[in-house]
Amino acid sequence: MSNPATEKMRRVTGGSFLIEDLAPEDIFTLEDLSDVQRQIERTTIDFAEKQVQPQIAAIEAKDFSVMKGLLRKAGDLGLMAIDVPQEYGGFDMDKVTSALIAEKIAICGSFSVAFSAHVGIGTLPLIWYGTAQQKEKYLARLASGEWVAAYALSEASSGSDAMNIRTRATLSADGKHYVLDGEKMWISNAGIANLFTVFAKIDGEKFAAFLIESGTAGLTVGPEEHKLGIRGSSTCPLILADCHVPKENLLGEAGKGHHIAFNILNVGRYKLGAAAIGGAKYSFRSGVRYARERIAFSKPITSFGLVQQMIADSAAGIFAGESLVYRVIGAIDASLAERDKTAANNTAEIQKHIEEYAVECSILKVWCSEMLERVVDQMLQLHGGYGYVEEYPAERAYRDSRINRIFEGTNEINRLIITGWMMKRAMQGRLALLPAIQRVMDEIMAGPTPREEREGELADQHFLLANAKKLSLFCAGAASQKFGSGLVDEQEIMGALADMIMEVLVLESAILRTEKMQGSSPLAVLMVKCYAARSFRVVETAGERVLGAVAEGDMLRTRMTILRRLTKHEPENTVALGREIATAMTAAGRYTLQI
Amino acid sequence: MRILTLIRQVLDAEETVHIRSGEIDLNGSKLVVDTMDEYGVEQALRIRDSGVDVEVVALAVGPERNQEALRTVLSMGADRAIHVMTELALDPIPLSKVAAQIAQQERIDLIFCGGQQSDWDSHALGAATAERLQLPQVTWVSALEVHGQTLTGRHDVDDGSEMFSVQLPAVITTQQGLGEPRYPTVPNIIRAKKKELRIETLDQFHVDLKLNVLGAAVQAKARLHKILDGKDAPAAAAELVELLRNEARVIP
Amino acid sequence: MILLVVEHARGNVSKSTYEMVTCARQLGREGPVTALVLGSGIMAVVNEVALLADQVLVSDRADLAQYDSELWSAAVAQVASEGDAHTILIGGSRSGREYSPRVAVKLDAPLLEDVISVTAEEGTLSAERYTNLARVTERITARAPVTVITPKQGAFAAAMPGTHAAEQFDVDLDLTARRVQITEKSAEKFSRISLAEAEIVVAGGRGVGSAEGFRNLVDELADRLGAAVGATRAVVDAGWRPYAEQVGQTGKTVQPKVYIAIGISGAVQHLSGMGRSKCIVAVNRDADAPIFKVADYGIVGDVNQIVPAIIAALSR
Repeated sequence: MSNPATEKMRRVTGGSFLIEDLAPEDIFTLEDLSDVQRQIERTTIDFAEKQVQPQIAAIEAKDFSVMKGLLRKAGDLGLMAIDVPQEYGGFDMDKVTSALIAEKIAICGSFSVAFSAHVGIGTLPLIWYGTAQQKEKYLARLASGEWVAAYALSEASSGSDAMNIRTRATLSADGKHYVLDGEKMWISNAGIANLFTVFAKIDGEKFAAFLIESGTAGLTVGPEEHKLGIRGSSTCPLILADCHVPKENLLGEAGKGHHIAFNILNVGRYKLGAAAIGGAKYSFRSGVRYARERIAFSKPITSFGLVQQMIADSAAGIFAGESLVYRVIGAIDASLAERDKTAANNTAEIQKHIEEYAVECSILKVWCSEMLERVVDQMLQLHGGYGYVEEYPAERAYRDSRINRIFEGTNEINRLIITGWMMKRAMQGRLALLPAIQRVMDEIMAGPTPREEREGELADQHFLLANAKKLSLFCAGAASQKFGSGLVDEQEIMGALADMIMEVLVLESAILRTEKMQGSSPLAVLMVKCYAARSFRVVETAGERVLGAVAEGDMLRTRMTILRRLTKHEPENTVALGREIATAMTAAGRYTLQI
Repeated sequence: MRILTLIRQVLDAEETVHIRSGEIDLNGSKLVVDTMDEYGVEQALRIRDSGVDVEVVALAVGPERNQEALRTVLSMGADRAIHVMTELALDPIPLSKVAAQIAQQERIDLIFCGGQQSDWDSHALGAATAERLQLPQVTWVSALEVHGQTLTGRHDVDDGSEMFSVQLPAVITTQQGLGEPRYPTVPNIIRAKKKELRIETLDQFHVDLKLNVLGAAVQAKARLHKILDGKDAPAAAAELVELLRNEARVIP
Repeated sequence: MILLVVEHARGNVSKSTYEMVTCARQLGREGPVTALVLGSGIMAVVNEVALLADQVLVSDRADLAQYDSELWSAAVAQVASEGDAHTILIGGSRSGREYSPRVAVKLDAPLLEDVISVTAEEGTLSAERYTNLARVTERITARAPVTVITPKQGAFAAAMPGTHAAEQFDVDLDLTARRVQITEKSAEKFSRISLAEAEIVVAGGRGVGSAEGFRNLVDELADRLGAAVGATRAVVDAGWRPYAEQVGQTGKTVQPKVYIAIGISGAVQHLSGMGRSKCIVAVNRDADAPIFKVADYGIVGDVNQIVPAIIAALSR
């Protein structure tokens, strides 16, 4: 079941946002949610606010019976079965719906992590790679929340370099079992899980995944880690010592376990983006509500400009993030709607369609986790000293947000993926990046051209977006000209290019969404203008960084002239915009699109 | 048996009330099914769940956005819904006229209505509907059982509670104590999409408005906000007692 | 005439009746303030009311021994029609608010429900009432030959009785049999002062931890202050306290001189029942709790330490 809006949408190629321009009607936005999606969103909000929120203290105190009880309730509501096929008690619904759930459940970082580890990396491998017997045995129990799932890939010496795991599996003499030995680390849900997906190398060579039930002899869950944040979630090492796993619990093919590991990541990344939006909104709400009650110099502090600036900046970030997340996941749904659902290997098709948007998934992960961090930081800041003590939720939100930049691939690894993936697609000829770079170069060399006249309220923002695209292509061209395929080793430049690429996608999403709203939200217009100003500054700074590193002397001067030409614009009055945004948000007491 | 549940869409209690030019403005605010009405839906569903042959019909009278509330109720499990669409703000007395006519057309045996509407802070809708239908009513019901044509249960009165018994058809207004309303689950939300939501216009009901709302204002009483830090409990307590005795003069 | 339906319990005229008399007099509409007393064995009530009203109508009969919304509304509508009443005042109690809509429908009259003020000017009645869980004050008007009003309890001052007893008349009523049978009554038991009328209320929320914590903290402090005890819905739902003590949307509304909230977070539904208290004091460990936003005085800290310290300080 999916949203009719996405079914009608035309399919776009992954990464094409950098070289093509879309129209507002080509993107999916939150305003396009179907009735069913809105209802599921509402159920999730009610569950989060009425069931999870009152239990946060117990969750944070690691009362795992509370955590398991809440996971079970979420299962009863059907929130864990969105991606599960119907024949195993699930609903096989669209990805926007599962993203909405991830967003709204993020009222408490610890619960959110436990929930997503279960439905994402915990359950998806089984859905995608499990045999009929394996699904029959485990899937309904996971989808209902009766059982909790965990995913064990990382080890002490292999995190981002996942292929390097040392855990070994050997076939027992009687050929009935695999015997696993090794140690896993940072395993989310380890302390509460009933089923583990454990990665090991058969005979030290063939990468493979195994389904291991808790209580299996030789499987020991180590002590809880003492973490900076998400303290109520369980994170433990896992010790496998002569652990006998029935042969039929091998998940997928021996030697192809890395497909499981990598394909799961894209889903984890886009859902992390959605969860970050949710976390930011909840944090924003409590921050704004605090600020408007807090009196200083006989006035609520929300009447002070620098407080308003933090509120407006956070709100604009959330707006841009929402636009980004639902545009991308909507595009994935549009692509999935085209797949042949009767194909024998339906799940392989699903993965192929999601993999197409790997670069967008990484962007959601990196950009949203950093936006969240900016929001929780600003919300803590406007609490003053009260932000620094445990009595207010700002402190917990600040600690909880930090993990998002680390797991599901660190933001550094993901930045390399973003630029690297684009380069790879360009080399394979699957993305017309090189011709696009050439066009930009030609245009620039032809000398200054008059600014394209454009109608509409967001004409200036379109101009910034167009130039951000040109500048990104120009810098990418300059960098590859200098380093060729060796660019992949210039991580700082790859990172700066990733920053530019990300901003192009975010800014375009925010502008197109606002246009698609057709004036129904004046507040969206203010926020997109505010965000565009900030976004363009990021692009400009990253551009300077790239150019400074790839040229010198006259060449550098020529290129900087081009950069100046592309970045020249009159600044928006972001002070006035910020005040107006903050006033509306303060009145609403939460993030809103309605004045 | 056919049960009618009266549904009102109201501002979520957690939301700030916005007043613009003297009117309550719900635009952009989170709206929900009135919790007291949800008790009625839940009770109707429990009667059906208990094996009685029941059709649960939900009714809302109001602007188009009310359909969201009706969708929620259908997702909770109601069988079908009727929306009488109007932009007019009806107070409970004229609204009861619509409810009563629908109840008659639909040959309803039992009507549920919230004990108090959380936007008007009114108790009148259930009673007024009962009067128009010449039906008995029991208000503030906190426990309810159905045995054939007889309803028994407990309800709150001025200074305590009473056990009651009444024959169907009747009107029941709800009170806490009835079963906690269920959430719409994902499968029920999907199922609800196929259920009937009938739309009617208001003109056929011939209502006339007798009340005129001139304006609304949020008048929060100014508070002193003298909040002390309790790290040193005896000192804070002594200071508080001093303030209450000698500044506020409210305790002996 | 102005018809005022007397509220009474256990042989006494209720406070709300005295308040309705003030409301009726302030209205200043033409005709006598006519009190209607319904019940069985109600002579004491009639004599008390005679000192408040211009005339008293009485229906003393066995089938009125117990309140019933259909009987009461039929009686009031009949008396109002026969006496050409233009204004009908009914108490703002639960029962008053239960049968007044039936009266309004019978007489095709507007209902001014739970009003905190009402004035008359050239045939138009203007009133104020709280809405949206008592957060908003709305001004409403009605212009009709007959209007039904229920004044909010506690919103009008109690009238002073006069010295001259008004004339009494018996009225004949045509009533049908009641349809709702009451099989058992359980009256609220207050260990001390009634909540609605107390000058000091000490109330506890989930923050007191347990039924025992409630007794040790809230009851102790209330005893020390001679206060009535209130509770939040969460406490009642948890079974720590009886429903009779619940303050809030689905419980009682109170307006004491001082309301002391112990371990109460201050949900909107609770605030709607006590937010109009003259002075509000809060003790809670969560500095962010909404209750502090409506508090005049408060202490942020552990109730288990603060409340005993307050009790100790009171003894000094």
